[in-house]
Amino acid sequence: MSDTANGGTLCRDDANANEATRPESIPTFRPRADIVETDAAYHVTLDVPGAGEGDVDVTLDGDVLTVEARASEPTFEGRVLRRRRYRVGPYRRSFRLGEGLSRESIDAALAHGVLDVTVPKAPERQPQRISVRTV
Amino acid sequence: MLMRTRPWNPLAELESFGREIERAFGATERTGGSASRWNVYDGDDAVTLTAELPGFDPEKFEVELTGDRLTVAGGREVARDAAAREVLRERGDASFREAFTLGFAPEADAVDAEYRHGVLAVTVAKPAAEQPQKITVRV
Repeated sequence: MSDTANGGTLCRDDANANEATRPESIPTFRPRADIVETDAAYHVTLDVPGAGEGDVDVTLDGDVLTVEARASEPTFEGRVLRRRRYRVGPYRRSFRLGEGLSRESIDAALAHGVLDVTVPKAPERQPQRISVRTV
Repeated sequence: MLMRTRPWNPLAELESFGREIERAFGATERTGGSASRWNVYDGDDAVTLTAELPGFDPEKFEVELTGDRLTVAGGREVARDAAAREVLRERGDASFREAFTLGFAPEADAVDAEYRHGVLAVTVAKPAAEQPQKITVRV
């Protein structure tokens, strides 16, 4: 069996097969999340360990919030990975929150591998207090 | 009037294409609390253990060394807003206590622990005697 895309054979017993160019499936991780709703906003909290400043993208498309984050595998000079009990990979998850979200004032804060996203509801969606006049 | 009814599902998740694996704390050797998963990096000069512990309190980490036994412990409490309506809850409080047998007896000041981006990395330097020594061959 040959794969011209890789420029060589991919037979397992081919001594010349280049392990480094064989495509590898990198898993995407679905981060655990909490969502709470208040009158004013949705608060979405996600566990994204390994992601830092600049690694996270938050987008709102209509009523769908999407979070993507890159997590980097740590490297330690002079040390090789000897035992692996967890894998590191990119995160991605989407949520359909509800209608009437306000894109302008979305806030996203990242600390210690936890991302907190606040998606405010548009003013007309928030319950309005109506004062009752006494006649 | 034609009314379109929608099933009551205020929250629907859109799955992305491609294989997805949900991370979870898994079981390893543990001496208390919930399980934590550790990767181990080994070198001539030191060994580093890492675990993903998002949202843990850095002040609450305990890293102790007794002889050749390293103990690491920690906990997290997820803040809950009583006034808010909970739509989804997948993240929980957690605590762990893991013990590792190093296979060498480090010096007292050989342990360093760093918590960055929710990943705890504990590095233990190996004593000089454990490190490979170059021996010149006499001719």
